[in-house]
Amino acid sequence: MLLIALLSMAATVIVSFLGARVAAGLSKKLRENVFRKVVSFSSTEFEKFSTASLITRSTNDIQQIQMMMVMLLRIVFYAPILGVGGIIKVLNSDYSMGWIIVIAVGAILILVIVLFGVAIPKFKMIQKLVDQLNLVTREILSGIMVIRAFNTQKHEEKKFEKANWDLTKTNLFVTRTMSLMMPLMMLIMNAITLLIIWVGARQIDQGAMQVGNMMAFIQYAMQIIMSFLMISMVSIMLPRATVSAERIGEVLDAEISVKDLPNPQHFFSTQKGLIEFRDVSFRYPGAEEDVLSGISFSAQPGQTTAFIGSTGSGKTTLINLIPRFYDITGGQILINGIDIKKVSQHDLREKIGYVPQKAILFSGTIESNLVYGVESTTETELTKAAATAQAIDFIRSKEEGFAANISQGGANVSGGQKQRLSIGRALVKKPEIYIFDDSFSALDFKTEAALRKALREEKTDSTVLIVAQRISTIMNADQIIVLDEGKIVGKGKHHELMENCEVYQQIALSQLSREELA
Amino acid sequence: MSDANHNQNPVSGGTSNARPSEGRPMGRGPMGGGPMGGMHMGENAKDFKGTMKKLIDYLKPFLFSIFIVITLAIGSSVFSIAGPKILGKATTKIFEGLVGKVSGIPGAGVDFSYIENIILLLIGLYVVSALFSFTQGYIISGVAQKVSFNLRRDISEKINRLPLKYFDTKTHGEVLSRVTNDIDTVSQTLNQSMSQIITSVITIIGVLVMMFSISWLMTVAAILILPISMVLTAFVIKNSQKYFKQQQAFLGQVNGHVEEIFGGHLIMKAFNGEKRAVEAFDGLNDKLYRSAWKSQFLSGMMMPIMIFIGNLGFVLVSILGGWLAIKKTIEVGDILSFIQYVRQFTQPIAQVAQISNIIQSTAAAAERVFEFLEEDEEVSDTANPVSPQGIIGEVLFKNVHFGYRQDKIVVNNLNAVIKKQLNPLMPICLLRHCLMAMTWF
Repeated sequence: MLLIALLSMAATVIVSFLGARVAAGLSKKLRENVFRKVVSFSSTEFEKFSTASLITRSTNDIQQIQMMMVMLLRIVFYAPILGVGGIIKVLNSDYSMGWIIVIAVGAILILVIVLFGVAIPKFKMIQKLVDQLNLVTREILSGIMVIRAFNTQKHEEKKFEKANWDLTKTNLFVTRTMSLMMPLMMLIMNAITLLIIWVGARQIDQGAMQVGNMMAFIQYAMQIIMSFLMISMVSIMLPRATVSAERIGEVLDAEISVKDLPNPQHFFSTQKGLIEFRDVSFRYPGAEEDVLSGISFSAQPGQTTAFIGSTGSGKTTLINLIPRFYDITGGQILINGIDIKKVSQHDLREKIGYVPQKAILFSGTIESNLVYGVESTTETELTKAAATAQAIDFIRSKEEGFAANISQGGANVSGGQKQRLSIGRALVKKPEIYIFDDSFSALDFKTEAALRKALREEKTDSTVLIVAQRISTIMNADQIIVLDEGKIVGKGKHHELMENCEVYQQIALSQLSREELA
Repeated sequence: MSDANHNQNPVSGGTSNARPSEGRPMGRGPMGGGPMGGMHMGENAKDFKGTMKKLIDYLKPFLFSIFIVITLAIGSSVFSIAGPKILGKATTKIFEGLVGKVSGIPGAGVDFSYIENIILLLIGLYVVSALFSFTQGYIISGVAQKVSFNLRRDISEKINRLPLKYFDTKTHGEVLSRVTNDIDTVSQTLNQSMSQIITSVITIIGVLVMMFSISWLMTVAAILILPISMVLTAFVIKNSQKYFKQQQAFLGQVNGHVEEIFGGHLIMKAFNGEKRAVEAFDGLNDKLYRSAWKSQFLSGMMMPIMIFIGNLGFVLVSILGGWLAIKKTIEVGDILSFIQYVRQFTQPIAQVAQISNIIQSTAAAAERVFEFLEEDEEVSDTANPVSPQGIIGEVLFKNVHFGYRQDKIVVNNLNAVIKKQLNPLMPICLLRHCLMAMTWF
């Protein structure tokens, strides 16, 4: 008996060991595949899924599956063996009492089905109510200034109270329904024991059974009931993991829209940074209309090309086409005479120093953020780039200097500082092409002017593309392209456009006086 | 991002709305609901005592309910403990009848009317016990849910009293996760720990008493097993907790990395950072894997160890019981009852071992909630507010200083008079360098 008990434990430990490794290994592999896949996504896919949803899918959903795997390996393979083993034993030992087991299993199954039948719709409702409560809280948080200004705290509290009460009510119903389960389960098990004794007593009296057999029968019955209990509990959890698996499958199966050719060409080194747009048009996937159409221009090395236009005119979209965040739907974009679709994304992006609208930093140090795009750099070059980006003063003011910590998302530096580091990061790379996507708006006028001056002195032979809101930022550009509703409505220098481009005049006059513009 | 939630599934919508990574276990952690259901091991509260005191304050209005719960728990445990002992009597009767029959005593046989009575009595007992334990669960879930309701309401009211600067340093996700995740944990663990502490303790005591009443020798044998069981479980829990904490920490790091890279994917793409991101991810993922399988393996060891010790107890009890039965010190039915008691005995001990963990995670979650509730509040309105009647809409700025935070003054010594305009559409223009501060006026 002792030996059997010991063997049984050893076997279970081995199962548990293998199960843990398989479950953890599977989720590791899954996490890795999903991450690699998402890293290769273009902006189109990011917008299709939404960043928040992709994050949930690669964290929460995989965790769900890992949990399910552990349970499956531990219980689902174990319980049926236990149950079937028990049933075989029971059938072998005594046929005439098998019906008790059938009743027991039936009773347990009916109980589980009825309880979960009542509770599961409510479970789903709880998720919705939690969302509702989140929504109300989010509204209060994002509208907090308006709430204070208009003194509507009481109204908001009432709204919250309602969502809170709805959730509490449903939660109460579910937990109370579930609190029926254990007592009823115990009652069934106890009742089955009594039934076995009652029936067993008669059989013993007739000499058809021994007392020891009856005791063994009780043990087997309990074992069978327990295993059915476990299986039914797990099967309830299965749907949730299935949903997670589906969501992960969607990510893994997603078609990537921006792809490299099998045999990409390479750039020639004769020309540096010449950009040509030839009748380019673009529409977002699934959209009805083009956001950009008939765009043709060229941007020369050593010159600054600026883009201006009202909100929604397509400025940002246009420059996002150059690093192939999206692929154009018509026409051609050439860099140094080669179609950008024909070279690898890696080679293409090596040439570009990109500064986004909203500065993004990664956790690490100031230095690790500045050198993000390059293999190695010298300290003098780092300092120079930081100086050009007007970041050197605040870096020096920090105790650790370039080694100062940057927390996740750059939360520990101000918006302006973030933007300057983001500009510095592009400068350290010394690219052939600079893209500034409205990158100066987070800076005050004085810093912006100093920055523009430093940039002019710095990057003499690079191609510079600037998207701007402020006329003052781009007045001195070599070429200004005015966009309106996805089309080029003006091209030229400031004074030319002031004479012949109505859209440009309107933008200019809304910002500066005639004297300033002259 | 055009539509942040259009792909979210309602099932996971709850957790996905809060920021997914805050270095804390998400949802219920990888262990919840498993065979060791309720193995809550997470971070510890900084001020355990203080937090518990505050939590008890929230429980005070429900003192009467809790008192009823305790009474019911005692009743239900006593009834279910008495069961096996009475059942043993029936078994003994069957055995005696059988022995009588075999020995050829005339008229001997199993005394069915006696057994019938016992079974009827037991059915009554079990039904009452089930009723008690259901009522107990019913009341406790009511208390737990109402406490969470009150906590949530207090948070919502607190939001309206906090100074605006609080929201400059905290993300919405952090506040949201207190309203949902933390309070959820509190209500769940409150529910579990309250009913488990009471029933487990009563069951242990009651079962011990019953075991002693059957045979002190067998009880001593069964108790001798206990220290082995305790040492082993303590060892497993200690080790698995270590890896569990590691796993949670690495999980937080992996999720943080995912959030950062996905959030900054434009930069990652523009600067060819794909390879670097994947390498960093693989390193973290591998660490997570190592701690995850160890933590799962060790927590999975609990069951087989407990079962083995239970079996060990069975063997000892059976041998001893058989010997005692031969010597006629105890009856056959008593062996059956005793085995049932031993089975009931190990379960609450394992539960008590876990209760401290459950209470710890209750405290940790509750502490975050109380921290929020105790944040400094905005200066309340003046005690004697001036009546707004007769105000014609003039605003006068007199030596105004303002900064978002103490160390960052944005507006310095501003003096201005804004008169009620004859033409209400004519806007007030302030100097451009105050542009940023304008919204604050």
